[in-house]
Amino acid sequence: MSIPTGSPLRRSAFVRYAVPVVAVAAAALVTLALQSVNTHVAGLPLLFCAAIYSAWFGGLGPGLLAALLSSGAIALNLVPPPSPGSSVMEELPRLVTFTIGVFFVSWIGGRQRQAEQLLEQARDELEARVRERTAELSRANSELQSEIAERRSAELALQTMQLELAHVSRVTMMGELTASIAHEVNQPLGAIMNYANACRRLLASGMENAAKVDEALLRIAGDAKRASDVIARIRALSARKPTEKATLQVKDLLDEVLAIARYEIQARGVTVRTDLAAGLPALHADRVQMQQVLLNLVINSMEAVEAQPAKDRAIEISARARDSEGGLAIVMRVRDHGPGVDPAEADRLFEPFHSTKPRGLGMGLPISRSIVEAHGGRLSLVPCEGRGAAFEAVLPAGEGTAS
Amino acid sequence: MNGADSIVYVVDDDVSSRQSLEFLIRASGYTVRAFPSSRAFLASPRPEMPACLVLDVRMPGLTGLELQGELAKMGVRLPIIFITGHGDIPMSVQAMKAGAVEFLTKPFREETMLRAIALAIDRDRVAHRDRLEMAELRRRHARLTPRESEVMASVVTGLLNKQVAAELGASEKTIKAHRGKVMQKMEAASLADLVRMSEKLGANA
Repeated sequence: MSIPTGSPLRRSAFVRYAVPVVAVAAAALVTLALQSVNTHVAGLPLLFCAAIYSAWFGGLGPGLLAALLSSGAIALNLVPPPSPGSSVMEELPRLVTFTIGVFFVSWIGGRQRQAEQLLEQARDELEARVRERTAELSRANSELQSEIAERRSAELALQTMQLELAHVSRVTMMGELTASIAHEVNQPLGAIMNYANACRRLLASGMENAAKVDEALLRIAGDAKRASDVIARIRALSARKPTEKATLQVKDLLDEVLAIARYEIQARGVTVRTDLAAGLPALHADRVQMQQVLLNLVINSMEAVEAQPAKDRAIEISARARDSEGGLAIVMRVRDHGPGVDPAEADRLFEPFHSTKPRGLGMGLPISRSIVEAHGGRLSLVPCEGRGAAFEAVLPAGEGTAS
Repeated sequence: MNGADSIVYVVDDDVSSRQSLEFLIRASGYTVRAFPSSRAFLASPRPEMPACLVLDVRMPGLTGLELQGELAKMGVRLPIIFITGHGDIPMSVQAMKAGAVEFLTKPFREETMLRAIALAIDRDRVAHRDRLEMAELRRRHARLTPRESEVMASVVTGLLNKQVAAELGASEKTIKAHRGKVMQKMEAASLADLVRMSEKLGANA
């Protein structure tokens, strides 16, 4: 504990002992000055005041010094005695009372000073404690801040990782669709070639065919657009980019997904039946991620039915609006007529690296589910009548309805 | 060009592919009729003229190979040129075995396609003449009375009038009269001619 500090003026012994000297001197001078005007003025009260002040200010020592100086001053007749002509002995009782008074005042002064010191000490301690607590709090605060920053960066890292994972899974999926993609690009390219060759024939047989050549050129432009649209779709699906929500129509999403997978679906002799409710609300979601989810479900269903007899080689895709606790929701359902899901497998279906396919990574469904959940929805296996499996993605509806 | 009296059918579900083929083949002077599916093709009437079919292998609904089988079942011997996006060897073997003229992988050279079409049309031109002749023979044969028909069947086996009469339980004179009617209605110049007609009718009955 540090020694409590009072005002520096009180601490200095020189000042403490200088005060009685000055005070008594001042009292004696003032008394003499007053007596020169009026001889009836008594000297003692002012000296008494000086002694009391000294005792209060400086404690017992300065008080006694002031008393001694006052007594000396009276004894030496520097100040006229209270009753003129009386001897020092006669004044003794008065001096004793005077000294007791000094003692008393200096005792009170001491107590007061002590109390003040205690108060000061307590205040200082309090201040120190407050400073300490403040330091502690600011330390805790900075720790909290760094923890928050750490958590935030961990969350960001997780998000980035999920995006990366979704991207990898998407690219893997595109790998499964290469035949389809090649076909979709080759069709318009083949058509362009046919038109070009037809044009050469037309030109070779004379200029009267200009109108036909013009028609062919127009169609070439149309087919070039078709090819570049296919490539743009593929590029968008294979791109690695942050989530970007937009207003999407379920029909557009489905058309795009089926356009990409069409050839694979046909090659397996699979029929796709779509059933979209009229006036379906729009989705507020990331286009590429939604396509990924739908494409994944469609591919899974397609592979589930490919070994089935022709009449069962069918998948049904439907979309409905439904009122749920969180407002209007869109329910997209992909259902196949394949062998269905073994109830024992159902729980593990959404676990990472769990696959029932020989070449499967086991990432499709878990990633699809995380995408749907990141959009505030749910993706699950739902019971269906008859043979086969049905998956349902429930997503909150955005603003606007399908035109 | 040589295609005015013939027709090329195109069946392809892909709109770009179908329209461009139609355009190319038409630019080469043929009459073209294009269909987006096997069903649409089967549902449309086909005039009797030299023809061929350019057929996409993979289509939703009835595939190209299935349409080939369907036409064979119906007795329609239309020369087929298959087209496919990918060289699928087992599929092409199956198609060729089933009588396809050509199996072309997209993208194909237009000369190859047009040569295949010309070949197919030529092949069908012969078949077309046969078909016309058959139709004519059937028409003539349909004019015979049941009795005349029986007489014709016996005569073409090489039996003499007397033997036919015995077989059918009629007089030789009656048979001779029937035989004359048969020769007249069938527009046969000689017995050998009638035998040939009978063989044709029998083979395609």
